[in-house]
Amino acid sequence: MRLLHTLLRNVASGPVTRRYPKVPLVPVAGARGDLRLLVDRCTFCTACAVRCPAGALEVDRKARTWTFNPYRCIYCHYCVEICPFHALEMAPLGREPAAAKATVTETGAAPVPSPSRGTGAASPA
Amino acid sequence: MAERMVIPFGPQHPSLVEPIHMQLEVEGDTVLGVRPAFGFVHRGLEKLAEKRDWRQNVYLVERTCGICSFIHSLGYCLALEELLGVEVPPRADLLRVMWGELHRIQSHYLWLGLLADAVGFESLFMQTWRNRERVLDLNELTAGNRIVVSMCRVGGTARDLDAEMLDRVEATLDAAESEFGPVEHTFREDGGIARRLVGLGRITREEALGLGAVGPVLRATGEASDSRLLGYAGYGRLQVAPVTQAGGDAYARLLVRLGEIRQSMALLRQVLPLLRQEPGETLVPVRKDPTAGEALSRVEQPRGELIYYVRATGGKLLDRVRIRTPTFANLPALVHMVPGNEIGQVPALVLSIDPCVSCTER
Amino acid sequence: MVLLYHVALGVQMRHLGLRQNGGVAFPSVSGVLPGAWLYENEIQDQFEVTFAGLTPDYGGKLFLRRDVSGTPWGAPRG
Repeated sequence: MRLLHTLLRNVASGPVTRRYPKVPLVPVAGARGDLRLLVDRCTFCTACAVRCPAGALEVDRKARTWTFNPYRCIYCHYCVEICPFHALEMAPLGREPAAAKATVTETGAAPVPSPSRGTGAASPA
Repeated sequence: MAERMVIPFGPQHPSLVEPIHMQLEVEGDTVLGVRPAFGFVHRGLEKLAEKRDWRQNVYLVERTCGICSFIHSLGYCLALEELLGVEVPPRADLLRVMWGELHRIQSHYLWLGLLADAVGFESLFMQTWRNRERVLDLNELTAGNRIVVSMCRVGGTARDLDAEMLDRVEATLDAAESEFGPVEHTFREDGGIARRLVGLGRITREEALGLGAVGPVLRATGEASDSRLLGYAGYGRLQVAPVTQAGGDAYARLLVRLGEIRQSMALLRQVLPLLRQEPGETLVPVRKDPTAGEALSRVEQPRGELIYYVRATGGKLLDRVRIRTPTFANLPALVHMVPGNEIGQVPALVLSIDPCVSCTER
Repeated sequence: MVLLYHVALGVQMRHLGLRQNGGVAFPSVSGVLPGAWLYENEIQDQFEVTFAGLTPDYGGKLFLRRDVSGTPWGAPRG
């Protein structure tokens, strides 16, 4: 009978679920969702690509591209933690559903000429 | 005299929650023999663990089980910390206990819901899973993910909780504890549940030990065996008394799991004040690779004892990672229990050991 | 090669190693510990090892598909 009390109270208090998508999810601070690259901080050092346990990241040092396959990502946060330049972050919401799989590619600007070496050569971007 | 025949049961069956196949030899309604078949969700995780470096493996082994993921990574990290000779900060040990017990609560809630569903008590099933959501929300709040929290690292935990967060954990725990009351009462007092489960799949303590049963299946036969008594992580500082029952049947397993939810809540009550009193580091950086050697860790999962055996030969890659999961250990006991029952009882019997087939096959 | 047995009762644990020089046939312990049949069948799946007196014997196809030949770890090392 105790459960009956609980059930009657549940009827009176209404559903605990949200009317999605009318009422969107309010993300919890610190939740792990979609991975993003802050491209101006990235040095294309490949540290994230080497360490990703799922092989979701590919970094081309020469072409200065960072390619992310969101459908291989396991949301483990490892890349964000180890990035030496804090160039990666995770949005608190997960990816939107999509009709087709696609990768995300970010291309960096040409490297800033290093004053110590003094070479001003533009990279083949 | 009814004819003897073989009925294939599973891997897809409306009343089975896990992809296990059994060839049941029946005469009339009575099962006389059983031959299980496996391999439907075999992923080759142990082999893959040799291809990833030992830091990446933390995330790999965590995905062995979809329910009690944190305790898998904990077992692996304990084995590697022994191999590396790393001393984990005391605060990280306490946080590991906290996440481990949260996982135990939500896993037992999941099982209780499935049990209520199996015996046809739909409203109890929904209420149990509604309560479980609260614990999952707490996981998301503290760790960022609901189930696969990825909080364990070799050398500690990835996050620390501040005082405000600990208050919110405690407030949620208060609510979860009062919500559990009516559900627990119904499971204990409802005549329908007792009629379905009392006497089902009864094994004695000697049989359970010989068949290598672990966890609630073993504790339901009166054997006070619980790996948390080993005092790994922060458990050495806490009072852990194994929950036991004498019945040895499916009903006794239910009572053990109900008692363990209360026990986990009590352990959280012990851990939270300690976390408040003792600030400190939660992660020590580990820079070197393990040298040659082997290590073994035993941790208590919701389903029973989990064993990690790790052997390294030096370098980034490990030579062998062996995972002995609790359902694997409980399967011989299940195969022993099935003959003699009616075929209609087999689904509830399979459920009573809380099977996790993806753990079993890895 | 060495086969490692880890036997636990309560909080106590014993680690035993069974060394077999050159051979790949081991005696089954399922007569002493009835639950060992599952473990030994799994080892047959993974390594080129056989256990004498094992029942039920899945013939190295406990988790592997029937059309798979060989074992993931192949012949044991050492």
